[in-house]
Amino acid sequence: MRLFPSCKLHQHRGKWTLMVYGQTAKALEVNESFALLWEHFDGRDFSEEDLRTHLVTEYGLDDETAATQACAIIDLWKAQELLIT
Amino acid sequence: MYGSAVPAQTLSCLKTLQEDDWNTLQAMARRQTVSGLLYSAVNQLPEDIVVPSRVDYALMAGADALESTHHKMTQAVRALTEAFAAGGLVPVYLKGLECSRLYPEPPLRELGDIDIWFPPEQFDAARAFIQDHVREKVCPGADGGFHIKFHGYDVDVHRQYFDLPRQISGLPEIPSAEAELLMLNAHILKHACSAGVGLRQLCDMALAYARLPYDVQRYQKACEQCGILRWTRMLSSFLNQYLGADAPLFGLPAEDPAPLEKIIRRGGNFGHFDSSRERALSRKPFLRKLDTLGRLLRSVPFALRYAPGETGFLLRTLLKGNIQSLT
Repeated sequence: MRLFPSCKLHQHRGKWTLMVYGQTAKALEVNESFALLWEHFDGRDFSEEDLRTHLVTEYGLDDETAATQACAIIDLWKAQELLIT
Repeated sequence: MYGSAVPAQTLSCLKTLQEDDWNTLQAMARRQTVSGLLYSAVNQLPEDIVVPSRVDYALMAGADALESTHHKMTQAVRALTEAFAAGGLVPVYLKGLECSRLYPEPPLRELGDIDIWFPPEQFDAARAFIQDHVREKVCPGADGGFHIKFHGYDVDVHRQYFDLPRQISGLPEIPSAEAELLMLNAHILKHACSAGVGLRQLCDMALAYARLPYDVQRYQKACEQCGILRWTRMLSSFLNQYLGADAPLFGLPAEDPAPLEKIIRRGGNFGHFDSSRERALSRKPFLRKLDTLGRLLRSVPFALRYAPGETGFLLRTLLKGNIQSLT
């Protein structure tokens, strides 16, 4: 899977905003954790396993929590149409 | 614009702005084609200054579009340079993309078309090369140059480096910082004395003065040779007062920049937003050209006051260009 390519992340006046350029343009205000994840996976293919491993390595989560979080993040990205599978 | 902090006085003023004021500011930036600079400036504002979300998002979307255009145009210029190199030709790029390198964030400088110049000894070879190898239709341009489309971009190939209606010998050699300043200066003068000029070109000039290592005396001499010294001081006065520049006055008093400010406010980017032009656009081509001629004549008092030595030649050249396109 890949993140939707026509996006641009802005760190603008202390806030993170993801500009999404689909059929219509939309702005999503996101938190820093989202932004860091986005920057890490933007522009490359990755699997749910890759996301789980990243959460364990970068955030020190245990395997079970990382698996739950990875699933939730992917569901969120799918709901916002930010994922291409 | 210079990468420095927003002045305290400006911050105080911004704190009082309401949503309508921000919308007006954004519209003004669009008219003047400096939306990228507004985005950059807003990005530096402290968080206690409230900027409406819609304005923020519109500025972000605008900045993203500018970056995309900058990237694509850079690729087109690279391809164009390679194409010319195959023919042993080396173009000199002017204005637009070249000016963007002066900015703290080059992609945020709004771009239009691609302007290039060849030394006189290469010009005819360049035209022939384009016709034979680049295989794009060559259309005549305004200054004896020509125009083509390349990778979807308008490319103006200029015969003259300086937008000066008469040939003057002894000007700074090309390329040099003084030549580039004179080129940008004369370009602004030409448009200020015709359809109009916007803030984008004035920002280019301010940054050119700030970033290019030029010799003030050589530059002053060139302006004197061209008969545009008073104009240059008026231009500097505007840049210093409104854009915080350190543009040269050559040891002479500043000029009142109000007439230039009026031109910029009235028409925006190259006069495109002048109300008379907006009316004229709905008319037939002949009447549109008459409107352009009318605006040229309206600029005569300004030209006579600030560039009297050049006025006659300037207007003759502009009138000739417009009459030729009428017939």
